[in-house]
Amino acid sequence: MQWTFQLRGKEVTLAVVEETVAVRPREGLRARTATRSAAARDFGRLAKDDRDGRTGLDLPVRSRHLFERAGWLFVEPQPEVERAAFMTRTTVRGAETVQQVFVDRGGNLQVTTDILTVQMDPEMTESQVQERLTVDGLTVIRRLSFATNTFEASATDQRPLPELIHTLQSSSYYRFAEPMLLQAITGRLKPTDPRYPDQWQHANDGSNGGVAGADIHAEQAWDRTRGRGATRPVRIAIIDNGMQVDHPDLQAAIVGGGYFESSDVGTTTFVRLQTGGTDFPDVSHGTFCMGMAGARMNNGRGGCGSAPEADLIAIACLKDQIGTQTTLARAVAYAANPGTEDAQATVSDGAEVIVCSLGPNNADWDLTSILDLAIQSAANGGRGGAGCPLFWATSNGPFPIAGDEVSSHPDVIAVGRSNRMDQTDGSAFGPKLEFLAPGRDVFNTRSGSGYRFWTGTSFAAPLAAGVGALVLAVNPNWTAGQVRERLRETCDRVGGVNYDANGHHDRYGYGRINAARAVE
Amino acid sequence: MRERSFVQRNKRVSLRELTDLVALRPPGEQEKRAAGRIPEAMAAEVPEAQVRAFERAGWVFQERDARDETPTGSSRATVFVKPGGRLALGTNTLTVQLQGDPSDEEAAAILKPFGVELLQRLKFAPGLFRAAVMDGARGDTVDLANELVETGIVRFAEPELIEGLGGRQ
Repeated sequence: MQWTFQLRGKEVTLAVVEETVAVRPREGLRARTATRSAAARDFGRLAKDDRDGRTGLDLPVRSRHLFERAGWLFVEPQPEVERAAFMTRTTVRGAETVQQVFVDRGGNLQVTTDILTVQMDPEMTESQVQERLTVDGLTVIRRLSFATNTFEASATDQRPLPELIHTLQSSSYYRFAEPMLLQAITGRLKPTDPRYPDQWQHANDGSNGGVAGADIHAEQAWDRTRGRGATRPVRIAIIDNGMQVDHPDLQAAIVGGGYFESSDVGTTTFVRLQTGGTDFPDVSHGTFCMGMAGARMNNGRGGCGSAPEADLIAIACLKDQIGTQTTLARAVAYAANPGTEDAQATVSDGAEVIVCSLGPNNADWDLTSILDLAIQSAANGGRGGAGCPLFWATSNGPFPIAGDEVSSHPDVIAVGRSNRMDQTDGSAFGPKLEFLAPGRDVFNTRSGSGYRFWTGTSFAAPLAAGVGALVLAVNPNWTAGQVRERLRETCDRVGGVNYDANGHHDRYGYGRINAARAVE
Repeated sequence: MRERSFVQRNKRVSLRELTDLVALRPPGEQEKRAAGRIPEAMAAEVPEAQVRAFERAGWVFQERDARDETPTGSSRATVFVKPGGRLALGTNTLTVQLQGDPSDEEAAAILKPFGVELLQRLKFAPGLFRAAVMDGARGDTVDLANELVETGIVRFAEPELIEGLGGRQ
């Protein structure tokens, strides 16, 4: 079904969202009606949320969520609720208002109100205007003084809104009569950080030889979430050789962590991160990785990470870049369950998302049993059994990924790097490559409280991990497998190459990661 | 040079032991050293960048019969080359996962006859330990890992090898 009316002299058609109405509960009831059962009792079954990846009703997800943030509910209405939505000046018990729901050509939600804007013939006198409005069943809410005889008005009685609009638009007394529709109009979040324009990885405007849109579409994703879940920020553990934990763009994000100190040949001891401590290994590579995932937004410094409101857990191991896989295994296990190393910590202090960008850059890397067990433990047993999505940078060389038994581990999400033209940038390839993320000349934090451009799969992986955190922020109960599947299926199939029947290409994986689609 | 191997994740991994060489690491914080001459036996097997990475971490490589000028208390390690030319140093430690989930005391008793002592229980899987080869044992960590696997008392036993694990930039 459709509703067609005139808007600025042109015909506009909106599609009715079938069997759906928008309800705005009275202020005191909004918290209560947030639960499905209460809403169902009062108004009708709530539109399914997108935890299963789709809406139960035919609603554009993003604008629906913006309405919900403003206190609206979308329900399959009970009969009296449906009737109230169709008529002006009609509501039901417990609701401030009940309205019809439409979708415009652009796929945006439009919700009716009881208000319309009208302009009467400018030649009409004040008394003629009042008389006409009364005859047509309208009452003035507000005179709009910037134009003659122009008002916000509402119906004085209960009438179907489309019928009222049609009547007025057919009358010669009205220059125009248009419904006042509610839309989700948000300023697209564009961070104010001074070096944000250098971060093409988030929003590529096509400058510096790039292609506009060859990015992770972060700004649209940030309209939905920046990494803060319903109860607290999602935690991302970054495992690296070291990091500047007091970097001004990172310090506020770091909520825990520690480092593995060498105490003998191949042997390390865990040391918990202490506030104000000065011994934490500081390696620029790790500082950059931290920034890619979680550098703060709108703090007047540098740029930001892909999950700028997520929390970070800093884990440093092998600070001189030489060590055993056992230490790396302990770091992975600690990320998911800090209690494995720190007697004062428990599994509830663990990360939801883990990323590591360590490993050789040549073709082969054999996986030890100890690291295998740690990966399995974190990826399947973390988050109380839901598993931690575990991202790992592939080798930067153009080698078959199968030779790297760590990043091609079944429980690891292997991330290669793309450039600002949305092309693969020569990192490892093969069936186990999950997807690409920007990693060529990306900009973020470095040690020494500064910033730089840098290239590597090392930086694509934490960028993607940040997107994983965004997905968990809006779907906190998803398993690691569900997060992985969502990231796969929402990638953009870039590169102008032929992806196979499963949507995979050996050099692009499932494509370039797309944060906006991932959090829809 | 000696060809060695052990079982890792149910596959046999080959190691080439550069028997003419030894890796030494002086105690304490390392001073930056000028890049040294890479011993011939190593230059033929391992890319220079890998050797330099170990040197930056304080390791020096020298012929076994060379005059040892490293300070007293230096750590010593066997030099191995993994498939693909990956440099690895042998330690005296190994990781083992025993069958079942024995207590620390039970695990120590199981391993002691092999000349292996427990160092640390790792909590992310049952029966998982770091262990060290004791003085007077019947071999090094590669030998003992093989011996433990052959007896069937372990799910796995693998030598801990030091390798280059830098950032992928």
